[in-house]
Amino acid sequence: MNWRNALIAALVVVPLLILLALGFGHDPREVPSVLTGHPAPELTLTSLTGQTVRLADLRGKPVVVNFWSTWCEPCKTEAPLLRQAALAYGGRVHFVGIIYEDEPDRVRQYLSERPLGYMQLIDPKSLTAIDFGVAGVPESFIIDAAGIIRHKEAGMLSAEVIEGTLDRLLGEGGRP
Amino acid sequence: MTNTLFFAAMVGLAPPPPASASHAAPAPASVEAQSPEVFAIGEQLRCPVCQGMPIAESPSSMAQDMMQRVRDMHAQGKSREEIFNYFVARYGEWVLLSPRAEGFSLTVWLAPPLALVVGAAIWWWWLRKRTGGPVSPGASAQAPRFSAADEQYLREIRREVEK
Repeated sequence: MNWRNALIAALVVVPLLILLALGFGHDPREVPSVLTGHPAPELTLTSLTGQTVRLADLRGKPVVVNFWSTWCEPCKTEAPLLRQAALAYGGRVHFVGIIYEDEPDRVRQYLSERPLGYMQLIDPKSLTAIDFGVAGVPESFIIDAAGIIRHKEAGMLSAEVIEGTLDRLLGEGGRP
Repeated sequence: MTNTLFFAAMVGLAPPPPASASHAAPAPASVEAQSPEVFAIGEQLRCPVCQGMPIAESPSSMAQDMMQRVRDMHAQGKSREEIFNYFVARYGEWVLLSPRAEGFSLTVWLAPPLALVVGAAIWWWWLRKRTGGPVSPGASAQAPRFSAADEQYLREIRREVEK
């Protein structure tokens, strides 16, 4: 093979290898987040206890918004972590659960057995989930005190992500 | 329609969705109940909990909720572009099944014809090199050019063969 053929082969093969490497580096099921760094969508929802909650009313402290459901097994695995974090950061951070594609009565029953310790909001017709670009559960958004989304987690949160993000936001004094 | 039939045929064979996916709804809203414009918009929006399926054809409850959002926005007088922009602002360009011909997505539209042109050029160059001169429709029918030594050699071979 002379140098010209080798060059042509390289020009064809190298871009293909780069494309393959980029493709295999991504999870094909992952929905890209375009909301990180942008203001969180406004939401006004009713809690399981009948209280009306507006996200704007929670400004001034970081907010962890967790979309979950009782039929979602990873959500049940994630729940103790969120319960623990809500206790650890109580008073400094708001924790909000948004019930995704589930029946309020079933959720009440579930929470009576395994309470989470923070407010749970009902999302009729998934309007808020669509506003947040949710593509499945669990999915969580960590919003700073100014209402800017600073982290999105598609899938289960980890203690490292919760503590790392919240400690950073609290260290910043809630500044974006 | 083809996708719908294919999906209907595959439903019985498909494995159950992962626990972290969306809840399955009983059935998608009937196509007849939707306006053609709403259905056309839904055909262009990717269902986030499915594999490459438009929300207009997905039976998942998430896709049906998204279709309801499309219906509501359409009823409010929002244009097709405004509805696409709403979903793109939340899910990114990923949500469009036909990427817009702008920015990086432009490569999706330009790459195939560009590859065709480059391929044709390479093929033409290879043919030209093989025939040793300009390529013309009758080039393959023309006798190839040989050196005097080659002509002599060929004449000897013919003579031997014809004996």
